[in-house]
Amino acid sequence: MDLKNCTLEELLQEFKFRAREPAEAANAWKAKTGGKVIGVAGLDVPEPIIHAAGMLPVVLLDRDEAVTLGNAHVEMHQCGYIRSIVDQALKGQLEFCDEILFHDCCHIIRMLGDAMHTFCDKIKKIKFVYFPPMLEYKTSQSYTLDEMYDMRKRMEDIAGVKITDEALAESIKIFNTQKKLLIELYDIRRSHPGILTGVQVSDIVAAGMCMPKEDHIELLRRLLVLLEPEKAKPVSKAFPVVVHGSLCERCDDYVLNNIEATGGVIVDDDLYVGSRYFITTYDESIAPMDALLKAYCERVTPCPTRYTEADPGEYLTDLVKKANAKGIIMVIVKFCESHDYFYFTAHRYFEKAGIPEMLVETEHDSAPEGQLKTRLQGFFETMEG
Amino acid sequence: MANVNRIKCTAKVSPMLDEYYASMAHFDCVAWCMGPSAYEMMGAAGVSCFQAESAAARIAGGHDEVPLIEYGQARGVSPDMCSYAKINIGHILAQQDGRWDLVKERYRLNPPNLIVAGNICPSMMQWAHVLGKLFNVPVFIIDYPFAYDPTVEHLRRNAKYVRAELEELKKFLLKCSGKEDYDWDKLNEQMACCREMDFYQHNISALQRVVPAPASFIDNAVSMTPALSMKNQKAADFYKEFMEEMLDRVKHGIGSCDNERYRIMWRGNFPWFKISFLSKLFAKYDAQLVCGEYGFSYLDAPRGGELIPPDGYDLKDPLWSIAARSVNGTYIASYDTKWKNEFVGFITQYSIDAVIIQAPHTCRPWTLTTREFCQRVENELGVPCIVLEADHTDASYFNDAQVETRIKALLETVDARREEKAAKAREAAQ
Repeated sequence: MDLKNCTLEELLQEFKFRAREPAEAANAWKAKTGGKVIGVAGLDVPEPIIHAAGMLPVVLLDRDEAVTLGNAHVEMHQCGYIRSIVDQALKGQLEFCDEILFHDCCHIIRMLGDAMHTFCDKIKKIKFVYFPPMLEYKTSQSYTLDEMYDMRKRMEDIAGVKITDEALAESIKIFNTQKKLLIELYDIRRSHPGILTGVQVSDIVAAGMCMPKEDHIELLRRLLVLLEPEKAKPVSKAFPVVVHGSLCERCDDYVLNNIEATGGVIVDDDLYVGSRYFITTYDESIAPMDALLKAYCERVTPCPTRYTEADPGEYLTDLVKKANAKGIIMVIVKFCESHDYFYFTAHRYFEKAGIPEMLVETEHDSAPEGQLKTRLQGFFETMEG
Repeated sequence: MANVNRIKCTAKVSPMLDEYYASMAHFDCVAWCMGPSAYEMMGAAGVSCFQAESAAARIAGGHDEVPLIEYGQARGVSPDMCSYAKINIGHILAQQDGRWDLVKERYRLNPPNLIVAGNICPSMMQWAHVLGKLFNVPVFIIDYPFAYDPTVEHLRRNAKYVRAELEELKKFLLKCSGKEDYDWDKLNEQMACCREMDFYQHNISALQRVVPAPASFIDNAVSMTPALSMKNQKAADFYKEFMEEMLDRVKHGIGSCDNERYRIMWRGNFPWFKISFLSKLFAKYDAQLVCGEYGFSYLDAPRGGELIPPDGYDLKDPLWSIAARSVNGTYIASYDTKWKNEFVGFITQYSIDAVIIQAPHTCRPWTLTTREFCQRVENELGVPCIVLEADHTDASYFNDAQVETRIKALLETVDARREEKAAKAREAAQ
């Protein structure tokens, strides 16, 4: 696209296309560069290692289409993300990946990755990384670093290149640039409620999870320029809320749209395809491998598949306050068991802290919009009263 | 209907556990544990341990789980959580809210001083976190890395990591109990008990190969708590008695089933609230549950081979023994290792006629891949297999009639296969 002359609308369309058709973009990148694509399942995989080997990391997201073939292999009471990934694999939609790297971000994901070769011959290679979940324990940190070095070696083998510390430091810089631009975008979103819709922001972030970082950075820079005149427009007077959740997949469009259609405006989020992807930056003042470890162990956002003593409600309450929001919408993907425990604890915290909160459970093949709309209207009316 | 000829000493399990739980009152420091939590190490630090899943299974076995699950769910516990956790958290909330009408006296608990959990499924770590917050007590997580690479080198690395964690656990336990020194002699005494207990359990497991099987696998299953969490001399003595009873039956040709016609392998955990129903159902059709991995995976722990001596214990380095055994556990094994150890091993060595895989609704790790395993059992080993969708402790997911129909159909398939085989043999003989 003609980045210099495009309009905001055209640019947002480009983000949308990149976000929703990752295979097309990845195949185009392969054809252009001759490089390899590594599909990544799980947020904590240190993508800069893949990038430093000259390969393209693509975070595998759920796909907004009905699960059909996947249901024959995965029960309906497994989460939508798992079912969608199996479905995509069986339909050949992940064939663009030269290898899929599963991070043990939950036991179900790892078990799925481990068994997929038995029923799906359309996946070329599946590999694992295991990062212990106890982020504050010294023992886990040392194991994690070993595992990261192991991953680095494996990526070198696939790409057929040596990853130097310099190359890794350079990749980290590029990732940080992307992160910082997204942080800037979120600052604008907080200070100018309604400047972008929830779905638009979701597309912007999702595109960055799939496409080459360098290209995404260019799009983001243009976006920030195009948003300048928008800042002068009146801001939304709707109820400001923070949205949390959908921890391995995109938050469904119908959820985000209905929040905005019923009297809310999303001023910040703690979504997987949202701030969780970029909020933890890499420390460029230390050795690159140490920076990757530090980012893992000192991640900003609490995660129900990782362990720290902190109460997850505390972080989310701070987020609500920082964004001047009046409440929080907690989006849980049905059958994400770890998230159920996390929610149980956070909910009790919100009660004590006086933070209005609403739980929305989503299922991959179902979008009960009417019901959600009524509940959201009730929630906003309660806040108004 | 055929008799259910249970191993007599299994009647001692419940009183033994009552006594064990009552003894916790004599300890100043009690740990609530979930998953494999290095129970062996607790006593030497002056800590008594309470195993939350076993307690939940016991409550469900007594059909007392429903009010606790309902109470928990009404207070924010998700119906999709592991049903062990649902019972346990519902139990705590009921006690904290003074709803004594929901908690029978024998199940009432004193609050813990600490929580220890083994990270082997999506529940354990978060369940522990919830308990830590509910009781405002410290939590320690023992991580068991996913053994995606089954080579000895990888397992050794994992064992070293777990051993380092156990060193930290030791410090944590001492800090919680206020004791200054860790009692290594006491740990070694307990490890010696474990070794003795394993010896009996290995024999028990091997004796199940005899036709007719002297015990039902249900006898083993209802007796697993002493081995998993008590790990003391009383537990060892119990398994000795169990083994001797089996030996006596073998000597006199007595089977657990009066007329054993079908030998079944059970994979997965059990619907504890339906143990009696299942026991009678199998007896009704002259079927015998012979073996399975659930609750006994630690017996195969020494398969790491070079990591520890063949009996699984190096008493000179007890922490290494615990660590090396744990990294071989079935929960953290790869799919291919599970297939080899949990299916091929049992099916080929125990004269198995059919396999039942339980897919518990609220235990998604056990459920995932059951369909693939089921098909593989049929295709590669030629043994009929079904996946039974039920649950370990949530009665919402079990229907007697449906279960009976499916098991009956499975046994009819065995009959049909036998008939087919006999016809072929007759043809060949002509």
